[in-house]
Amino acid sequence: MYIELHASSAFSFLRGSSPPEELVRCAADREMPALAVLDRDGVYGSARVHHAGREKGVRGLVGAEITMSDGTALPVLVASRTGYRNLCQLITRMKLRSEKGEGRAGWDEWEPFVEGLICLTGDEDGPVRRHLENGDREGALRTVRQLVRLFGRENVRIEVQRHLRRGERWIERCLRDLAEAEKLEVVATNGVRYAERKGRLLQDAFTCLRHHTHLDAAGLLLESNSERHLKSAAEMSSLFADWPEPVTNTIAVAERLEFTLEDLGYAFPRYPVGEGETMSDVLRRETYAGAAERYPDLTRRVRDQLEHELALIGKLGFCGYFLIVKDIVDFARSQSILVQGRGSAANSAVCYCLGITAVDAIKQELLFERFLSEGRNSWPDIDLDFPSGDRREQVIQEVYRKYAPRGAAMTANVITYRGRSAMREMSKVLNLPEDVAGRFSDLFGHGDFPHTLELEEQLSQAGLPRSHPRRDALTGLLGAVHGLPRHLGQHSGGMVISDRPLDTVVPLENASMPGRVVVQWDKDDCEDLGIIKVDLLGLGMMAAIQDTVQLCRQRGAGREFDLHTIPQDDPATYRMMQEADTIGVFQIESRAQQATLPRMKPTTFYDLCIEVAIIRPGPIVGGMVHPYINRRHGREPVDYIHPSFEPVLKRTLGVPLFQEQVLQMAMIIADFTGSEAEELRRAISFNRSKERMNKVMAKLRAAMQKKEVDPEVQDRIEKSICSFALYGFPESHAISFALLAYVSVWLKVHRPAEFYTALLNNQPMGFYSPATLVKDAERHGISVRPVSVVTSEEMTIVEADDAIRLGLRQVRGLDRSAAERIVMERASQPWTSLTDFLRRTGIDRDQRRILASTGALDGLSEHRRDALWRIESCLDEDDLFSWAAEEEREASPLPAMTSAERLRSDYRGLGLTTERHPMAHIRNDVPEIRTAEDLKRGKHGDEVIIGGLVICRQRPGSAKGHLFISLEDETGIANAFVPAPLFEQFRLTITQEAFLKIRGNLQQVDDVTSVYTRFIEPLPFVTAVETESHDFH
Amino acid sequence: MYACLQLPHPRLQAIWRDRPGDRYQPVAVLDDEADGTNRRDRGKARVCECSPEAAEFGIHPGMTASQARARCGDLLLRERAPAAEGRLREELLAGAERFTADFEETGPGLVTLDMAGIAGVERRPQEIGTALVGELEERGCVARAGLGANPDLARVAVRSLAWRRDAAEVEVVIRGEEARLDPLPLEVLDPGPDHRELFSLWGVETVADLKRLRRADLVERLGKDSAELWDLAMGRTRRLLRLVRPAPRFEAEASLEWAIEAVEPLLFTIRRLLETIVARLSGHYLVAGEIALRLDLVNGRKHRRRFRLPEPGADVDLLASLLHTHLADFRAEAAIEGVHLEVVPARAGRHQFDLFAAGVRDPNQLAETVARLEALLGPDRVGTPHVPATHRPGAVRMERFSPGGEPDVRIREVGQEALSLGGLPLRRLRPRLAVSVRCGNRVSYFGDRAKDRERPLEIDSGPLRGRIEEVAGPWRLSGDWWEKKLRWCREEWDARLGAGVLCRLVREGGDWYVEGVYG
Repeated sequence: MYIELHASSAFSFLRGSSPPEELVRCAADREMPALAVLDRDGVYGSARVHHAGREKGVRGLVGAEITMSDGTALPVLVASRTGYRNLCQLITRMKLRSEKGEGRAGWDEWEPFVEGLICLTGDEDGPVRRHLENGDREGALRTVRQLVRLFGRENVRIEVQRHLRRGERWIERCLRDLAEAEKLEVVATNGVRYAERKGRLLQDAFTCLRHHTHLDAAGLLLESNSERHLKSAAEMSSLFADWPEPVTNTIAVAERLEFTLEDLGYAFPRYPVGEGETMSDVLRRETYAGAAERYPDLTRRVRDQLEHELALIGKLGFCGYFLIVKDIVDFARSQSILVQGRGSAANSAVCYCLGITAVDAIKQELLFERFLSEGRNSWPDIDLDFPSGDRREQVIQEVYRKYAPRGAAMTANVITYRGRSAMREMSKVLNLPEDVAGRFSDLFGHGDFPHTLELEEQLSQAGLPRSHPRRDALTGLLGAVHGLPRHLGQHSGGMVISDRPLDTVVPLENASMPGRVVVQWDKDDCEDLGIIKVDLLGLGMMAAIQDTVQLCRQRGAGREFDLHTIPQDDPATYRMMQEADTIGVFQIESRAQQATLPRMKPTTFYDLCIEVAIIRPGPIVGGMVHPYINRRHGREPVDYIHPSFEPVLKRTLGVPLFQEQVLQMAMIIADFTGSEAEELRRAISFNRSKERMNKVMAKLRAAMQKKEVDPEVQDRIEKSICSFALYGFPESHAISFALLAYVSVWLKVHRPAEFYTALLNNQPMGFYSPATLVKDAERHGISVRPVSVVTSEEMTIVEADDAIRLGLRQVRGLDRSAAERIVMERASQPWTSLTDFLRRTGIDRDQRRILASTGALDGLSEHRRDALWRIESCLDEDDLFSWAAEEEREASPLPAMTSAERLRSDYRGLGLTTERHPMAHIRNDVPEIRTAEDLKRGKHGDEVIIGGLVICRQRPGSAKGHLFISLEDETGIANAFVPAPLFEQFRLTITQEAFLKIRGNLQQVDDVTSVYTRFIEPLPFVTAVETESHDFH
Repeated sequence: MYACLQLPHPRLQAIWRDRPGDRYQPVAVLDDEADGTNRRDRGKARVCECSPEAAEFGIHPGMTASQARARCGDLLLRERAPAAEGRLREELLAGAERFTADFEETGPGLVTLDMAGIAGVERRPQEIGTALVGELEERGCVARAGLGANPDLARVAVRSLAWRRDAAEVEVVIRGEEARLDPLPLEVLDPGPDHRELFSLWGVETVADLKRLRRADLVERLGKDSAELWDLAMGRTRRLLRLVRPAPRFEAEASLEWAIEAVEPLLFTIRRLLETIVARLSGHYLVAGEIALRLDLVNGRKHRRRFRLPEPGADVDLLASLLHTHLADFRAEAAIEGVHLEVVPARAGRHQFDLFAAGVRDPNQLAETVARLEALLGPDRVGTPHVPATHRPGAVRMERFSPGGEPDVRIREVGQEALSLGGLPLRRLRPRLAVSVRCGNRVSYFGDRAKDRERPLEIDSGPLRGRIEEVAGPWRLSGDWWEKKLRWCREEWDARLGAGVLCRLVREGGDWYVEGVYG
């Protein structure tokens, strides 16, 4: 028997090349009952080892290699919960005082943290071996004695490894002598760095990355053989045939390691209650207080639902959780920060009453079991949306403050090697020309997307011929590294809180963002281990909505409104949706949404919910978009798959569109209990494990067979469920999003000036660039006025109901302090002249040039070039007479800019233009190109040529490699569909060119106009315009 | 009168010389350091020059490779070729030197010649320009010429040809005709990048636009550099050429009327060439530091060899004997029809030997000995061995023999390590001895494959045949896996044979070898 006590996973970041799951799988294959993964300076991989181990029957032992102040690494194993707490606290201490990714422990720091830990002497990086490698036996002895003093004799093991390298026997003899001299037990480990032999190749590559070198130069830094893989008991016994004790000793050590992550010691904080009160009482009181506002006539149905929910919440012990989330919501409201709960919380009437969500679950008939059920062993999931930026940060900092010290932290986000990053690093390792990686990336366009170009072909197109001697190695490394962790970031909003310092539960470390602390696990790991996460997410649209409300409030009577007073059935709002005039609004602005809106023609709020949900990869994969629309238009009969599904599927015309429906179908047709439905939900929303999905599907099939459901119906049910496995979309979520979508469209219709202003002030957000938003605003009758130092504020402002003024922050290259100074100086006294402006602001020459070239100084000069001429004069800042002389100078000899020149300057300095669209400048030169507006008047099937600025290249994962392109011209936006083979043919033209000319056939279906592409070419543009587009998201 | 000779697209032309097939193809030359305009694409190699055929597709300098390929799928992308660029530059300088000794290298692919007082100056400027271009064309270069009353005007004249719609190769701007440049783009004056951007913002697009501005206004705003540009536009610059004196070349060649098939006549020819070169070297107070020999064979092939002299010298006998040593064992595959010799000059050696170092008393004798050894063994088998940083046992790299050089430090370290491990010395067999070994699975060994479980039991062949009494190992080593041709993998065993012999057995690629004997 043998148990590996010293393995490193890829979470040791460049010190191990196998993911924890693979190590566990190999351990299971080798019939190893337990496995200790000791990642460097953390327990990053331990949660995954634990989770995978639970499935495979391998006990995940916990430990870590700790980097010492002398650069050595000391491996420690966790024997008890105290030991785990000590390890977490030690790591936290060394991490929090260091930069991200750094941290070392001093020998003198260990003493308070040694209880419950067993220490190994380590491999060649270990403190003992390091001395021996240098021939210093005395030093090794001193170190061993130091370890014995710290940890106690019974908690120190001499570690021996045999990697079939010459010279290692001498080291082994020394270690054996040390063990005998100090009466210490010896254990054998293999110092595993990869699960299987082949992992050595990637390990070598990682070694190069760690040492900032490449394989040709790495020399002796590389492994000399491939022996550091996970070996079975038989292999280790053979290896140590002459000395079996160290191998068998591993069992005794493993038996002492009682601790597993099952016993984490985490508890969610208790909500403080008054004397004699329970949290359940408080929750009931708060719920009914809220219900009195939400449901003025508290009906029996409402009361029953609330009681049902409260009972279950109380039974599952989640009362404190609800109250704490409510606390966060109340804090946000007290600070006038817009907040809205989303996710499955919207299925709960209690959440609605507590003000956590804005969705009335009872009115919308939402399934509470989707949110909470009796069989559920995980915590409910409440996501809160806040306006992105400072306002969300304010809430996060409040949570940190409230649970300080160390009671709250963000969850980590594991950044993995993907297409481009993998190629960049691996080509560097293989010493390939840098340009190969650049050209490889260019083939992706500007974002990762599921693409149809095979890796081999992509490598060839990147300039690496098939005959290249390192091509095979590159392909192998790319395959091996894909998906492995690269570094740890912070999750966008997942926050964990605890009733005790979190550093006793999981090590904490600094994020790169100041003031942020993260745990070493990501949100899935935390969820697996029962650590409660509250998602405090930032939504750009929430910020835009809140800003719009404030702008309207500032502008006073006639514009002021309250979000709650927005009518839910405004015809103009629905008309705008039906016309797919949705640039800038929430969720339904994408190319795919715009193509569906005219078909859907939403007339009610629920239609909008369906619209939000329908453009998801799930339903498209399942082939269900068209059936729904066809049924809606009466072109196809409504079919409920099975008669018993009618009540569930009635409102979606028999097409299962929401997760809740799928769960209810399972409950009806297969008699799934609440907990089984929960199992199904987790399988659907967990895209990590196929196995989990297969297991639950087998259960479903068996149950359906038992009920003798028609096999054809079974197949259809199965198909519809599987299509959700990739991206489930709960109805409650759709409703929450639809609320924001509706509000944003209403604002666009009724408060356009304020809305566009808020959108521009909250960039980057949404789908379209500021340039497109400005042109859209102009098409809606809003005059977008250019930046001017005479009138512009820092941010964009509303000047009239139909006019907005761009802010100084829109100017690229003008730093924030300069913008502040301009506004401040002007507030004290208006500019008397350009000279006055220059003298009082003192901004540097580069920034003056930017302001002049974008026309921001036009109010103080004849024209842009006049300003450009005058700002170049060298004036002595201290010589008042020189400034006076400047003011008397004659006008510049330079001609005014032409409109094309202004366009170029605008795009360079602002990224947009408030003047004519670039296409208007070349319209007369390209008579064959139809305008976007004109396209609507064409006939289906017409051969047409369209052209314009590429504002969006979209290639959804579900679209089987097809691409959607949007081209903007001076009249609007023309959309084109590019079939996958054509995309491959014109890949670089599509991804690299800013302006395109597309020839194809007009398609007019259900009021949706697009062009089926036959040919694409660049549209040569005389004026170089640097543009931005929304690509491949 | 000054003439400016320009090689348009010098980087591209350099590539054409190495790859004649690229001519008339859409080709773009990439440069890691070329300027780009887009922030997003920073760090990518960019097009620095492109062929006219590529330009027709809208490809221009500054684009990334991908942007260029987007415009033309068949575009040939080439990296810069510094060696070929160097050769092209030499052609340009040599071409200029044919006309006058007074010329300057004004920029990459650009020389300015002072045409005063040269033979044929009476010819019309146009004819001089044509002659200059013709000279370069004979040297296989594409060239343009511009002539002007001063060096800068000549430069502007030649640059102006890039904007001409006809295929003119010569432009002359004589005094009083400066106004002809007025409609040309400002780029013809080659303003610096800072000025270029600002002038673009100002709308100063042509030479005339610049001339319309007041010189004082320009100086006030842009400093004195702008004044020089303005003067250039007005044709008012005055400056002296920074003359280039190309380094003298010490080469000689002989094209033989009858192909040589024996060594003696070849040596005779070589000696004659050496005498000429040494005479020229003496004229410059130089001696030979290195000799490059090229023999042109009748079958079109060429034999090239370089000889580095350990002690630079100008003794013809000595130099001839060095070449003789090499040629004595040289077997040409065809008769020799041409000999080319080039000597890299050096200053005559004057050095003092280190007090404790044993200097080489007769370096030339040593060089000759080394040359003899190289002739016998092959050039890659003579020199100072160096141990590269690799796990591969016995890996060695030969470096040029240099007497008195530092010993390889790594060898010493390895030796110390071996000693500290108490290892017996291994007497290596060179070449190692291929043997047949009988293996068995007496002991279950590690690894997945069956052969891994086998251990050597008996050596069946060779002088060390016999039963293996005791065996230690295996030790496994592998490396260089990233390239198929280089990758290696081996397994080592230490075996005690019946007679008490302790040897190292190695299994590599399924074959067994005795690599050495211990003790």
